[in-house]
Parts: sequence; structure tokens; C-alpha cells
Amino acid sequence: MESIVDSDPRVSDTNVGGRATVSELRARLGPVSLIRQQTETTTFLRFLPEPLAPLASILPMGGVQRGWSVGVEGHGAWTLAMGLAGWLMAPDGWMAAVGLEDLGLVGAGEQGVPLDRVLMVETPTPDQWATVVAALVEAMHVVCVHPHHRIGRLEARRLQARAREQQAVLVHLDGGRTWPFPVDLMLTGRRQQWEGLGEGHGHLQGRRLLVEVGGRRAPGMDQWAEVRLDGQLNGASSR
Amino acid sequence: MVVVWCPDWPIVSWGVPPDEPTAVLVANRVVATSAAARSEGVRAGQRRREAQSRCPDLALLDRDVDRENRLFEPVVASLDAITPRVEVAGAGLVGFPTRGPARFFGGEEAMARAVVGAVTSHLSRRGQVRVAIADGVFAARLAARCRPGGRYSDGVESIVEGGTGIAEAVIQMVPPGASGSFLAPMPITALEIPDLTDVLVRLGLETLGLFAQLAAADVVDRFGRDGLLAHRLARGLDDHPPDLRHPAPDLAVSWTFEPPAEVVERCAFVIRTLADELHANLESRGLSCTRVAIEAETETGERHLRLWRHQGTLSAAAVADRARWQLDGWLQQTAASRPSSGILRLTIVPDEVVPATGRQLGFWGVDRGRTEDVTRVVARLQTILGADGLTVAEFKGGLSAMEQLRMVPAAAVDLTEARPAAKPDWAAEPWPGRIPPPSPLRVHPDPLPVELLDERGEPLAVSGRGELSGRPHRVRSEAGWRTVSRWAGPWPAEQRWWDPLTQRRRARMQMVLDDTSAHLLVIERRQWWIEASYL
Repeated sequence: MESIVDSDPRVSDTNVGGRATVSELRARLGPVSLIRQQTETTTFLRFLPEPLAPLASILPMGGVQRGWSVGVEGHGAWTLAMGLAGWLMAPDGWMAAVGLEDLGLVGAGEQGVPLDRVLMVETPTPDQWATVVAALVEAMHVVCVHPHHRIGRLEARRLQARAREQQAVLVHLDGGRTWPFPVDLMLTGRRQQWEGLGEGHGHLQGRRLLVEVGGRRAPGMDQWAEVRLDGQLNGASSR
Repeated sequence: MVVVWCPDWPIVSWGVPPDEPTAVLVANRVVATSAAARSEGVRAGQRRREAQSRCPDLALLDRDVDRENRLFEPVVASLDAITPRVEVAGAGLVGFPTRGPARFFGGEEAMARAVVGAVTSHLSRRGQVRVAIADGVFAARLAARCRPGGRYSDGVESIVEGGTGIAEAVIQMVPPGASGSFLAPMPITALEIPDLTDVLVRLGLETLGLFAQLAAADVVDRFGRDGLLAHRLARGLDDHPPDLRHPAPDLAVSWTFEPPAEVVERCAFVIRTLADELHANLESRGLSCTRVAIEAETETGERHLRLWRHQGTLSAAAVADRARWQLDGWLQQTAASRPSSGILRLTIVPDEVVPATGRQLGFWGVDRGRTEDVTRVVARLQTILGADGLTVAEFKGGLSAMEQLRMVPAAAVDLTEARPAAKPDWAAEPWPGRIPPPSPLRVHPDPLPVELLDERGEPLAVSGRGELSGRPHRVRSEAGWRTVSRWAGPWPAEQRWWDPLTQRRRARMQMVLDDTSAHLLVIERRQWWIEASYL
């Protein structure tokens, strides 16, 4: 396999300007080498689907690792989450959505989530929440959560360890607000511009979205990228 | 092998005579038709509307797999007199080996006539039965689908006997050793493995004969194990190589009821546990099951044995379903053939096993075949959340993003099977008035009431002709006032306008507010609601 550090676009980018200080570089290298060790046992996924491809340049190492926790918030948050989920589920993985009675599945399908492999789970009581999610993590590639209560530190640590072991991605549709730890990867939709809608005519067609990447795995950097989201994201559902 | 097929079983099981135009639907699509409906041009795969437009007095029935299987049991029982080893592949389709029975009846043809006699006495002219004899199951199945001496058809066609209307029974015989030449001219799509046959057609291999001519080693090279199985079928052999292992006796699972069970509901829980146990046994040895024998024994020593075959491998849920159908069918028969006492013992034996192919690491190290894990998790979580707590989506066609899907309990569907109803193209024909994608990602189960004012501060209204009373200007929700920056609509959505009790008159609008959030608003009886948000 090729070296992950060499192909990391961020490292080469900063070297061009020559402005990066040693401590800054070290701060970036630290987590990179840590992740690199883990890739021997877990799967690192790159090559994002077309509309999300601009994110690759700002995601840590250009992709997402199975076993991470991902948070989304701000504009287009759920759309981003479903685009990522559809990608993480390929080729035959499953997704569960816990306590998300309001998730628009038709929209999720348009973003590339194969609906024949989606399990909707009603909100468990707070004391059963961790049990239910832990069970789901064992079978699903992606588990989307939106808890209505704060998750305890002990529960969260156990769940995260279980998810890492089973290589499932926990997606926090509330931006990880109920999660006691910072998530591995945080996608925040900062600004959006809608297309197709006028003053009394047209219909919503798509939007340009400015996404900020943060989280534990993307430390100390305010990275932005613009993506264009439209009706049929991954093209998977339209064909 | 003999294959006995009742092509219209889904219709027959509803007790409909074949001269009434009837169709059985699953999620708005025709899956089975009666002979009368077929003569009007109704075909499997059509949508409800298309079928109705071809035949306006078409009677429509919903599919009921449980009922089909339960009512098929007496038909299978009628074959018990001919052979003890009837293999049920599904409601309406059974098979058994010819050798013993043919010798008993003095020839294959005489046996076939005995089979026809036994089955038609049950069908009592409500549908056709087709009996086909060939070397292998696959060849026999295809023979059952052919017109006498004629061509293969992938749909069900009525076979008409000269002058006398629809034939009650059709017998097809492929001479021993001639399966290969019988199959050769058949289209490659008869294999019913679209993933494989699409490629083969593109390679120019359009008939089974052309595919069969390839060297087996080359086929394995290019298409792997699935390709090899298909190649064996095309050559007129059985799908599984003959070196089937004989399952060790300790793979069988059984349960003794204390006290004996009189109704199927009491068995249901045990059946599921047994099926799971069987699967755990098989899995620990790296096997999966292609044929299962289910035997029930009553207090008074009556035994009821059925063999169930599946083209793929039988999942735990599939085994449990079959056991339930079998017991249901047996316990609900007429007094003469019903067991005289409760069921004491239930045994499930994996009759034919093959090395399991699931749970292999994919090329990228991704764990494939998690579907079996999913069914296991569903079973476990049901005990916590109840059967309705876990649902999967099916498309049903509808106007808005909320109406296009129906949620069904995950326990009610076999998740290991392909579920075409969960694919968007199941109901893909455009519904007039549908708002084009993107669809909203957040659909409020209870729409949020809002106040919508025009520029003069008057409440915005939509006239009967679908015209706005002004320009939308400000929205007040729980979060406070927002200004509308752009909008489109209103799009009227009238439902069931012909029915004064259930009709709904609504109109929808898309709006982008000054914080760039986009929403789908709906007005009904002068009240505006936020129905969904483009989160």
C-alpha cells in the first residue's frame, strides 16, 4: 500500500508556502502517525463520491476511517451526513437510524443511501439507549443517532470502543451535543446558497454549501471547502 | 426429477375461479394473474393503473404469502401417496426424485398422470397444473415453463388446448440424458441471475447452450463460484456439485412441547429459537443449508415431514417461516387429515448443506455479508423495543416525500432476501404534482404550525384556484419572526377529492428564509404548517 503521509495533501500544501513552523508540523504529524498505525487493523476509506469530493482536500488524510465518530451540524448537516453514510455503506453495508422519526428517507435515498439496507429504530428509553446502539454497532456499517438525553461518559467510552472494534461509524446528527467527548470528525455547514428558487417561481434544485471540518482527527485547523449538493447526489438512487 | 408447478397459485389460493379477471399485487405491482386477466393483457410486473386500464373490471387482491403456503399444504399432502420425499420449493412449486415412484407406477408418464390426478382433484378446475420431468431440477423447472414442444417464456402464459379452452394439466417430459440439448436453445436470462446474465449477454452468450460450451475452468476463473453453479445448471447438471457432505446428526435441532401444542401460535416462539439454534450450529461449522427437513410428531405418534428447498441458502428467518407454514397447514386441515392430538415434538434437520460463502472479507477488508448479523440484531432488539420499534421502508408511490414510503416492521420481512419494494424505481413513475428532488431530509412527524403574513401584514391565503393572496413576507414560528427571502408555489395537492369524508385540500410552498434555511410549507384550512425542512 502507498504511504499515507506522502499522499496527504495537507502536508504538501503547507510546505509550498514554507510558512509552517516546526511545532505546527509536529502537531499535524502526531495524529497522522497514530492513525497510520491503526490502519493496519482498521479500514481507511478515501475517494469520496463526486459531490463530496471537494471535502477530500480538507478531511484528515482525505477520507474517513471506519470506527470513527462523525458529527454534523449547521446548514445542510443531515444532507452531508446522508451523503457520507451512503458512501460508507458501499458496497453492501447497512445503516441504522436510532430515534430519527423525522429523518426524510426519500431525501436520504436521493443522497445515495440504499434504502433497502436501512433500519429505522424508534427512540429507546434513556437507560436502554446504550444497549440498543451497542447492539446495532455490531451489525451496521453506519449508525445515525440523535439522542434526546445526555450520554454518560462511561457509556460513551464503551460505545466508541465497541464501534472502533466493529468498524462502524457513529454519526451524530445533533453535532455531538449530547456526546460527552469531542467527535473524531466534525462537519459544520457554515453558509449555504440555494439555487433554483426565485420570487414566486422555480423550485429548489441544489445549493452551494461552505463546509468547515473540525474534530479530534483534524486538530487545530479551520479548514473550509465548498461543495455543491443537488437532487441526486451520488447518482446511485437515480439509476 | 419431477417438478409440479401451479403457475397461478397466488390466485388459486384466494379461491378465485380462473375465468374471473383477477390480479395479485405487491406494493402496487402485479405479481400474479388469472387466466382471464392474462387474456385481457394483464401481465406480472405491471403497475396497478396499467393493469386496470387494460382490464377495467380487474379484481385486485393483496399478496398473502402465509395463506398461500398454508393452503398449499393439502396439495402437497395429496402427493404423499405417490412419494414420501416431496420437496417444497415454495407455494405452488414442489419437486421430487422420479426413480422410485416411476418404477412403482410403471413408467414416468404413468407417474406423471398420477401426479396430475392427485393435484387436479385438489385444484378442482380453479387453475392449471404443470408437471415436468427432466434429469435435473433446473431443466424440469424450465420445462414446466415451456409450451408443449414450444418456447420458453419468462412470464406465465396460459396454455390452451385445441378448442376446449384452458388445459387443466400439462405434462412435459425431457428424455433422460437430453437435458443439455433441451436447455441449449433457452435464453441465458432463464438462469434468473441478472448480475451474471447481463454480462454474459454482453459477451454474446445469449443462450444456455453457448454458455455451456465454455470450459468450466474458464468460467470459474472469470465468474467464481456463482459462475460455476450457473455453468453447471446450463449444462443440465444440478446446481450443487454432487460431493454434498452428509450432515452430521448432531446438526439437527428439536424441541419437546410440554404440554403438547394445539395451536400454531404456541409453536411460533419455539420455531424461531430452533431456527436460530440450527443456524448457530451450521455457522460454527462453516456451513449453510440449502434444503431443510421439518418434522412434527404428535402425542399419538402421527408424523408430518416436509422437505423445503431454497434456490439460495435458507436463512434462520426463512427456516422459521417454512416451519410455521407447514404446521399451520397441517393443523388447519379438514378433520380427516388433521392430527388427532397436539404437537409433542418438532425437529428441524438440515438435509442438504453446502460450505457457507457468507462472511468473507472483501477485497478492501470490508466485512461482507453483514445482513445475517442484521437479522440477528433485529431479533434481539425486538425483545427490548417490540416488533413495531424496528422498521424498514418500502416505496408505495405518492405525492410528497412523506407519502411515498410505508414503514413495515423489520420482523415481517426477510432481510436476507432482495427487497425490490425498497428500491426507488419500484414506484418511480412520476406522480403528477410531485415536487422534484432534492427531497427534504427532515420531515416533521407532527408539522409545526406557523403564521405566514404578506407584505401588508395580512395572513397569506391560497384561493380555490391555487392563487396566493399576496407576496409571502414574514413567518412566525416558535423560534420567532423570520423574513421570507425567496419562495415558489403554491402547488395544490388535492387528495381523494371524490370522497367527501376523506378528501383533503392542501397546497404546498417552498420557502427560503433570511437565515438561508429552506422549508416546505403546507396550508390546509387556512392554517400554515412547516411540513419538512431541507436540513
